[in-house]
Amino acid sequence: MADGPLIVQSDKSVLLEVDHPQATEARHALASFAELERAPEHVHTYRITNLGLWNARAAGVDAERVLDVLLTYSRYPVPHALLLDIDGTMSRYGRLRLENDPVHGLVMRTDDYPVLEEVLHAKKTAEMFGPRINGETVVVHTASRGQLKQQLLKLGWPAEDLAGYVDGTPYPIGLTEVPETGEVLDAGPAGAQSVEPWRLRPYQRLAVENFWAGGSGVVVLPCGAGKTLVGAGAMATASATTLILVTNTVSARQWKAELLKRTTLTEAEIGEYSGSVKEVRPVTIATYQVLTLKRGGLYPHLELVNGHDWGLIIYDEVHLLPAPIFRMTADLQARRRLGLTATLVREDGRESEVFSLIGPKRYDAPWKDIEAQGYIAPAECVEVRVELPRDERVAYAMAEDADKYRLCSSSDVKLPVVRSLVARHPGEQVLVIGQYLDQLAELGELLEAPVLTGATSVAERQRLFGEFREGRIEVLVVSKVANFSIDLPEASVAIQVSGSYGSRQEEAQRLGRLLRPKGDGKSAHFYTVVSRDTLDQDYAQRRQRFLAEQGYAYTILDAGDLTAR
Amino acid sequence: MRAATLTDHLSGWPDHRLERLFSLRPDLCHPPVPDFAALAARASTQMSVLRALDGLDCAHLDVLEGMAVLAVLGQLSPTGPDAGPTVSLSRLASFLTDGTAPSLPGTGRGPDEAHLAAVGALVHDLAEAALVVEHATGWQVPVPVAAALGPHPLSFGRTAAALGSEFVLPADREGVLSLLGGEAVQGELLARATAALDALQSSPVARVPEPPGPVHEVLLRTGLLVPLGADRSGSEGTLAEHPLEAGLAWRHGTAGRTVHPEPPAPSGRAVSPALSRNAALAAVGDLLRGAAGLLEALGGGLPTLRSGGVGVRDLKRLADAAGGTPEDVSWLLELLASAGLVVLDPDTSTWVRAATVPAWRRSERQVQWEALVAGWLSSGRSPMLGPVPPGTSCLGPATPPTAVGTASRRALAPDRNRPDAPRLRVAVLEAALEVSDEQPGTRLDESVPDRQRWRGPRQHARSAAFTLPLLAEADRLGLVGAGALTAAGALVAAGRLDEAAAAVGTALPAPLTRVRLQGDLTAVAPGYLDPDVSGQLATMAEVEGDGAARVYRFSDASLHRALEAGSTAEELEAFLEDHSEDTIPQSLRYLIRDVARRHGTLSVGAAGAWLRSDDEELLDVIVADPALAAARLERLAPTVVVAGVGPADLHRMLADAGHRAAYARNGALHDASPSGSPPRAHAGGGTFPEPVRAVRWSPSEEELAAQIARLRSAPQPAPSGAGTEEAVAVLHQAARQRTEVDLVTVDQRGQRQSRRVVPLAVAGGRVRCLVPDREAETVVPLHRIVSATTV
Repeated sequence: MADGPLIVQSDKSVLLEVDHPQATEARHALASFAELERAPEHVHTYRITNLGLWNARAAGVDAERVLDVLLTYSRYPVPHALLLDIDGTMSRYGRLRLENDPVHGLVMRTDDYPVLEEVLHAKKTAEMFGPRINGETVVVHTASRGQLKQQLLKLGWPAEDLAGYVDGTPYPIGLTEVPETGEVLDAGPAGAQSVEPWRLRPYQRLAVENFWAGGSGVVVLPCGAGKTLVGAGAMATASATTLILVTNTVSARQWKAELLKRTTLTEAEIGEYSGSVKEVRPVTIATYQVLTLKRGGLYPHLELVNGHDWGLIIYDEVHLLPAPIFRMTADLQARRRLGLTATLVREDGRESEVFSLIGPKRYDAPWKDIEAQGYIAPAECVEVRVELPRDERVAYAMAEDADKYRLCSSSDVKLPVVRSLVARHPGEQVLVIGQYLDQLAELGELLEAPVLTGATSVAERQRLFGEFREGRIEVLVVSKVANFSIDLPEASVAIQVSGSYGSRQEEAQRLGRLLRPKGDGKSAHFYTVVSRDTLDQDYAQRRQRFLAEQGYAYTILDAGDLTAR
Repeated sequence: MRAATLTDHLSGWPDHRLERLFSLRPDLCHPPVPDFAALAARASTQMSVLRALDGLDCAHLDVLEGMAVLAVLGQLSPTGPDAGPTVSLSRLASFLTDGTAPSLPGTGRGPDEAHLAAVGALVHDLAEAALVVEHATGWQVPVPVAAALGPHPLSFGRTAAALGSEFVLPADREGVLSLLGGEAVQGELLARATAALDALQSSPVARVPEPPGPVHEVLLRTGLLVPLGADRSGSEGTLAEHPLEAGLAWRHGTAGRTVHPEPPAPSGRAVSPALSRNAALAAVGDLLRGAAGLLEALGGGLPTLRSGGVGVRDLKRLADAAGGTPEDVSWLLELLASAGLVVLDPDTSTWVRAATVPAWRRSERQVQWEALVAGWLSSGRSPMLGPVPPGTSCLGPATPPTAVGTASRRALAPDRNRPDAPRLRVAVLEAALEVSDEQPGTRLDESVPDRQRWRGPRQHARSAAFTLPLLAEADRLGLVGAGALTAAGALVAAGRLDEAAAAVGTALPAPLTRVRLQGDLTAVAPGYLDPDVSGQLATMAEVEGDGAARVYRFSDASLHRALEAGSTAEELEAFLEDHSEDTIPQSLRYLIRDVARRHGTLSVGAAGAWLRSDDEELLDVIVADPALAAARLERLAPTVVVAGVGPADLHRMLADAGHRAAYARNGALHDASPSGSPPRAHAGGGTFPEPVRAVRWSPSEEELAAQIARLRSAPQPAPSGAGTEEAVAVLHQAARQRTEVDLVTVDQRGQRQSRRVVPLAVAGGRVRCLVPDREAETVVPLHRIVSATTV
């Protein structure tokens, strides 16, 4: 107890000293039940939450193990109340079990009679139960499976779902792994397509195994760590018809391209179900948008989800899952569900719905660990501060609140700074990201670069991305559309000139753009240009905190320093 | 023949027995008594007897009560085996069995040797405390002792005669059962009646509802319950008592319980030492952090209400500032007040930090801890933790009802004072030590109440409600960890607080002086930070979270605060360089410089007076003049100088230096300088209040020797047989048996009066008696009684 790397705080946070010799083993032990909250240079902060503890229970970690980890690695005595609390919280998971009874169908069982009494009498859950079979068992309406789990979690008695899954329509899917020796491991008809050697990375394989063992759940991997491959691996394991839900059309096309490349699936077997195309194939990729489209109070496309015998449903970017999809998912509890995300943190705080409806976390790799393994390029974050000229400061000071951010973030003084930043990285792929179209147009003109906005057609968008990827375009100016699920493998520099309200996700996404493996192992650069002493700087401060907490080096420069160098 | 009185007995005791008596009952020689008569009188006072009874454990009390019961039985049947006021040891031993053993009276078989010896030893102990006296025929319980034991020794009721019942009760259990049979009681009703009789053996007074249930009716009809009259506690129904004879028959003519001279072993469950240690040390850390935080938050003082104590709203505000719940803060506040770190300022009626706080804050953590524990031990406050149940109604006859049930929950309210609180604390710790010695790691929340109940059943009834709250308090102090006594707790319980502090000190790591600085603008102190460093850091960064480690977050606002406190950016950076493991992250350095750059664009300062002149050279001269150094002049601008003294002083000083200055028109003569130096807090040394030793006073050897010598040299009182002690004994006896006595009293004018009365009760220094001639009751103060003789 005298000299461990952990410090367990009374407020349920756990500090991990990174430089400690035992830090790595402590981190691995800790990660199974605590969420990484901040990961700056020296001391990382984990937080012990009820959801985290229940995730751990779902993964087979018991309270004794958790307490043992805390007591073993803690440098100081651990508050006793905290130990009792952890023990109590973890013991609540699985007291209620959803099971399949050969006679009665879906039932809820318990060994703890009073708990069952409590939930049977709770207002919110009472209606979901059918007849009581005996003291420990009660019939559950099949349709209420998802809702019940949601409500039980709210009551603090998360149920363990052991009722199993339907297999769906079987459909053979294989991976086309090509080992470096050239030998084809999983020879499929498409094996000849891929020439470059590849195979599932160890952590991806582990993620797939954990998911399959758990039945349903969420795999957390940082951007660029190959979530698509985890999806492909899960599909190969399931070998059943699959529905993939993604955020937008571009993302859908990328999934399709990746699946063609990595699996035995052919063009004809993968369907796209989006605003423009409505194909239903053994593997169908649908966008959230089309599913949540509402016409006359009805969701006309929900039929896609309910009307087919899917063996696996994959949710891309779970942290962005819109509320109607949650409601829909509540009715899909008998199908295997895989959630993929870079972060479990949701801006709307609906983490608990992800837990109860998609499933517990099945795999989580600390961002920095994967980076250390060389799969993600390290990034260097630089904030460049520009001084607004006197007249703009006055205009800013007198502006309405609603206009302030626009005024300060789209100042013309940023333009030469962006140019000099671009000039610092000759020959590299540079993305310039902004929010305001006129600012982006000016930048495009100044840098002689194409501008990509929401108005750009999908075909044009894909053409530009293609050229950028191939290196024919070095600088690309993009608006918010670039934020979600596009793949720009070779971008190594991003310059952000304006962005809305610095949400945590936005940062993760933007940085994700850059964190793609580079051939030469050079570090990526992320620049933000902000106007000093304005709202822009306030947002930048939030951004700085987030990025520093993610463990990125963060420096602040004055525009003057930049040009002087 | 006149029976030997207690005076006779005591005066016949050798010195060593007297010494033993005084050490067992120190109140007998404190203050010293002049002679044996006074000693006997004091030993017979209700106060002293109750105190002695409170000190008896379960075994001794059972023996004493058994003797009292046998004495009553002896008077019941003048020809029976219990005849006479005295009790033989073998009779007592065979009586003190649970009735299932073969040693029933009349079988001729005596109790086994070991039991006899055990009872003998217990009786011997009682004799040493003068709670029983030995006569040629056996042992006797003095009347005051029997009276103090209360009306229900061994949970037997009073005799049928005393209850005014005329029923002839059966002599054995079979008789009781056939009595019930005679009333046609059978089946379920019989089972319920038997259960009721069993229950009456532990509590002989029952409440009879109105109308009585079938069981009550049967018991009342057979005389197994005797109605007492209306229940005075206000609830429905009447009270009824189970007569002694019936209880005795039901218990097979025995006490119904055996005597165990050894306390019951502590319960089996044990806490692992590592877990206990972990919990305790975490508690110590939390305690000290909480105390320091509270003292910090208490900067502005805490007002008291007119009725005493701290108001709920003030407490809540303080709790918010200190980051705890009002309950926690209230307890800590009490603790700090006990330790003398928070004191009531009588002038303003606010609770403020004591002058010793800075010294306490700077001292080593084990010293801080020691001060708090010492304060706790000596605190005369009833426990603050946990709800104090109002169920402390089992008050001894002499103890005034304590205001436990009505005590306010207000922090620092005077009505929570409880003079015996230190003793309660020590008693709990001692019991904890005892059970933990017998079984290390035993869970105290079960074993301590058990042990206390055995150790002092009479006292336990009154203090039981405090045991668990006190253990909870000990838990917060780290004396108890995870429910088991810790090493430090054992040392404190043994009265070795300094060693305990040293033991705690070895487990507390040395304070850190360096923090880790990080790019997310935080400084993390991975442990207890030196108070000076943490104080400095707290001015320049906000504390986040709560726990052994501290996280400080730098922000614009916090750095502005530091700069306002007088530091410069360079000083801040230098401080961080000195107290950091790492170089300052670029982003933090940038932030400090950026804040400093913007800081002070407008600045505010204090000045006593200003001096303006268009003649800049004149001002040069004045500022340079050493004679005006005392004016603390500072040049703000070429034509403006400010002074640290007021206008009048500056005017005078300038005049002394040969400069004639005019008062400015708009600057009316206003002397802003304070007349005297500000009141300075008394710079306290590192002295903390000495812990009060919460042990009972006991006479030293010299005091004992002096006392005994004094007794020996005092004139032996004449064996008149008319002493107060004897009269009172006669009255007690008569009151029990409702026999007539001849009472000689003196009235206000000194006239002797003699009358025949039937004493009804002797209590509170008065005797209530019935005058048969007049059929009226009268109350006579004991001090007016000259003699009382049985008719």
